[in-house]
Amino acid sequence: MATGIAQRIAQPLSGVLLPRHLSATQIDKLGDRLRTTPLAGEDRALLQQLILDHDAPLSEAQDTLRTALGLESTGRLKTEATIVEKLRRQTTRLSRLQDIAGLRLLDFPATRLEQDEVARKIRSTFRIVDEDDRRYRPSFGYRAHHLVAEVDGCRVEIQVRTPLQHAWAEAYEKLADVTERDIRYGVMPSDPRLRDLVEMLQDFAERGDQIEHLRQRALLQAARIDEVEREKVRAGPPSDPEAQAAYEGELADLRTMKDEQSPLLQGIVSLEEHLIERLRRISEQLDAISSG
Amino acid sequence: MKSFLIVYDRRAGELRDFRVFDAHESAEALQERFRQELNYGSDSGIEIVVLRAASEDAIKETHNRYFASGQELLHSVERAVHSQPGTVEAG
Repeated sequence: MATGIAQRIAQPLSGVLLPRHLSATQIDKLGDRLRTTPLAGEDRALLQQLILDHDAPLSEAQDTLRTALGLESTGRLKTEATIVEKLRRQTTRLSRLQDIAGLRLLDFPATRLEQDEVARKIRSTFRIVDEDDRRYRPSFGYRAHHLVAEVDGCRVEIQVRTPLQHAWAEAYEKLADVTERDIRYGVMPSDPRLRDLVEMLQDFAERGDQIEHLRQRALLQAARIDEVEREKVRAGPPSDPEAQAAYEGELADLRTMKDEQSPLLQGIVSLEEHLIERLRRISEQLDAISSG
Repeated sequence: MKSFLIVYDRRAGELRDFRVFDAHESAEALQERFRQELNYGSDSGIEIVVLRAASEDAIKETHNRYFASGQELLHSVERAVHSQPGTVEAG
């Protein structure tokens, strides 16, 4: 941590010594300049200082996630280039950018319910100043739950993804790297084969999301049936013969409902098999494009 | 936590440089990142980032895009589909 503190008063590369904290006005004026002029000289030094100011809060948030919640994460400070890209793409003021410091959880919650639970724990541990639940408002296929914490005066974005949301996001961003970065914001490539590939991946994201929902429902149903059955068995049959018959009937109904779960889950597996087939077609399309 | 400096060629989808800094070298990692950003410039299609995590395995989970090919990442998607709880296969 001593290193982090020393970092906060480090000289930027330009050699100009700057105050540790920049005012919101200074930051926003810098942001306005970066929208239209190349990053250079004193502006580069100011931007580096802004990035460095987020370093210690990022470390603190990462440590808190680990010590208070047992959650591992990877932290990163946004690059100069991506900050400038964002300023040129959006009208957001630089002082209001939420993701200069970001943490991505390593412990991916397996289901959407677990994702909700992780978000609840993060809310109870940090001062959360904003949330963006993109599971319900996806961004061109991208889904995740982002929570923005305020840590020592800086914002730190915490990304919570399920394994499927994460794997899809990585694959899509890789495609963006080698085709057109702005596919993440809805801009389609001009090459028709690449356009097909982007559409296939976005369609995959929608179908994958539907399956996540269905699995969630199946799990909840199964858990509820088990809970009711346990309660009934714990309570035991009533002594009255008529009530006893009703009790036996209810237990039989519960067992029937459990048996019906199996076809439901079979249906989900069948949907997943279709999804995997789509993924294979995506893979073939990628191969075809890569081989020219 | 260690710091991992990554120099990644976006258009080629490949890693150009990868360096590991120990926990006490986090400031050095960031300064090296700034040096590389200045060196490459903003529009080169080269992404320079420092990731902070407990291990290299961790960053290969959270940021596999820098290390894996497109096909490998699609395989990860397939594994993620199969890994979801509550399947008949999972029991």
